[in-house]
Amino acid sequence: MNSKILELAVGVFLLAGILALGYLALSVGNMGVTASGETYRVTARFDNIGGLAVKAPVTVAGVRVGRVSEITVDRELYSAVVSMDIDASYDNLPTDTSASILTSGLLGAQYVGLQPGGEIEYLADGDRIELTQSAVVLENLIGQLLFSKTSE
Amino acid sequence: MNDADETPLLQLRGIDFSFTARPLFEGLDIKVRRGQVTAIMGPSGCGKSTLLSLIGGRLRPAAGSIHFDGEELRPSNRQSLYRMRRKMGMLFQSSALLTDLSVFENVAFPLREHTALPEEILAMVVLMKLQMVGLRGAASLMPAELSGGMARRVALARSIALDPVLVMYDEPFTGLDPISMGVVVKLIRELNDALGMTSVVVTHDVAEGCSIADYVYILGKGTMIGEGTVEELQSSEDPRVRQFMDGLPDGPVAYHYPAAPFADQLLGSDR
Amino acid sequence: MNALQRLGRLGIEATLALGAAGIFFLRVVEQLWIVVRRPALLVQQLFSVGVLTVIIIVLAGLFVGMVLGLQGYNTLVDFGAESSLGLVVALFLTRELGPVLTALLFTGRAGSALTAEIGLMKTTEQLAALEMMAVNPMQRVIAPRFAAGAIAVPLLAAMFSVVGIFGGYLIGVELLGVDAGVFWSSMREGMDFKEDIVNGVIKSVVFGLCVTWIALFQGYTCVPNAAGISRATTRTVVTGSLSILGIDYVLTALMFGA
Repeated sequence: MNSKILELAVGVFLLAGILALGYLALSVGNMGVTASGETYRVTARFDNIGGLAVKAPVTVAGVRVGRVSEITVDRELYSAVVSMDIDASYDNLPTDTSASILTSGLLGAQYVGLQPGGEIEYLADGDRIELTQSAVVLENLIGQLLFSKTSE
Repeated sequence: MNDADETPLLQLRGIDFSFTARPLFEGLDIKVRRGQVTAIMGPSGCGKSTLLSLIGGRLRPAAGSIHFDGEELRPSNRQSLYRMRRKMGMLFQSSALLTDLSVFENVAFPLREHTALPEEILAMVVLMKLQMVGLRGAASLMPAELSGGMARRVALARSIALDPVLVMYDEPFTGLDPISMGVVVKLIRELNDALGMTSVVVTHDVAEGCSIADYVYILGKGTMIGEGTVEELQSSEDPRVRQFMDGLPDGPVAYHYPAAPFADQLLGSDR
Repeated sequence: MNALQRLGRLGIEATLALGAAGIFFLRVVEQLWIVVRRPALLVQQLFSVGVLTVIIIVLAGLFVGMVLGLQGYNTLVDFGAESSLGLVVALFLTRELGPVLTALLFTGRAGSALTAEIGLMKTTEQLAALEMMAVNPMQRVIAPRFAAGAIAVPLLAAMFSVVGIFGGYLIGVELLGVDAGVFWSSMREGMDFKEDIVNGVIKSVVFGLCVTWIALFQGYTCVPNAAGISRATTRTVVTGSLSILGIDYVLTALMFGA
């Protein structure tokens, strides 16, 4: 009888532990979208990426469709090349889609917003987004403001 | 039975052993004949317990050989070592009962580990062993509830659970009241004769050791200083044997730990 | 010169101890099959290292989660980002605090008990008695405890994280008024299965192996007397805790980039 109680307690313990793991995996974890799901990669060239970082979200109309996977500098043009992994289910982005680096909130993290265009052809793996808008760098903005004020 | 050419159950030949640079044993020879109670006596710290560890294969001698029941003991081969240990029982000085198991389960432990006896037969064997040491009524107690003497008897029942050919006793008389000591002395002799076992008793209690032993070895610093039957040793002229048998404070084993002359140290000339 | 000699000896002794611990590890792993053949031994140990540790883990997880909820809210609200509270709490718990604090608590609760138990078994010659009964203590005593520790810690860590998230929810949503939907959705949005959950589990498995190994090794090699057991228990807690934190840095650097 004693060993039955023991086995029961251990059984409950194991079950609770496995349920906790399962809860974390299913409810908390984002099992689908980007981590294990299929993605395709597009790149975009920006003059200035501001504070954009790898793993930042890529959104369409505010909905997350992928993440930034790599940021490099073009050796000849000295511009930033941002690679993005887009979820394969969003395979209908037109080739004239434009990408801009946006900020969530005034001082929040930066992300890439995609603005779909009107072409019939869709972006595919390895394509480049030609229309880009760089990040708004606050210091530059203030600098411009001061400059225009003094030149008046 | 007592032929001179009968092969001994246990034979140690030319054993060298040391923990540190100082050798503990040098060229030690011991023979244990079947059916006898052999006592190994000696002062504390002469390596008596170490000797049992060597026989049990828990320590490895630097030189020499140990033969047990017609086979050489090789601690490096775990399988053969464990096979031989099943034929040995050992009673530890601290009893070494498994503290989280009851008396019954302690005695049942070696049976459960090494046999596949059905529960009823196992219970019968365990109760029989407990009956031999007079503790069948204590079967459901936990080790913490036992007195030192009872714990040692339970441990004895456990060590004979697998019907070993050889039982080793490590200081079986130490720390017991006179009654318990009498019980243990009686048990060792009785079990040895009734079950046809062979016993090795390691002790520094001369009186008790002599009262049950058929043959006695006296261990000194590193070597045997005497052997023989109890009568032979009691009439021995060897001063080392005499000092031990009679319990003299000073003799070949000096009373003083080696030191510089006392006067020198008092006068501070040697600091 | 004397100090230098002592330093040298310390280094040699540490290396020797590491080597002995490594051999001990291999000898345990060699005997691990026993838990498959005799699961009852494992169940017994899962009870003493796992079940008996649940209470402390759940309480600690709840409090840590509540503190995270409070501190996270107070910090995030300055940036108007309290909507990310759920994400912050969950990330902290699954990536770091769950595995690390669980392992630290496990060291104090179960690790020290393992060391003391094995040390006492050694001191009272129980291990020697097992050997003389032709029972290998590595197999019968050490291996089941090792397996139980390695299984229990990841499960306990998962419980810690779940209870902690619940604690953060209690404070953030029920007390401070963050919207419940936002709390959960920020968590779901921001967390990544492989990045956060799997890495957290890997950490806790490594911690569990490491702490149990240290605890059993210290008990098995302790000086067999009362002072020796107490020293070994202290060493288990100190070495165990420091190893957890050190390994945590290394693993974090490997997983999330230095």
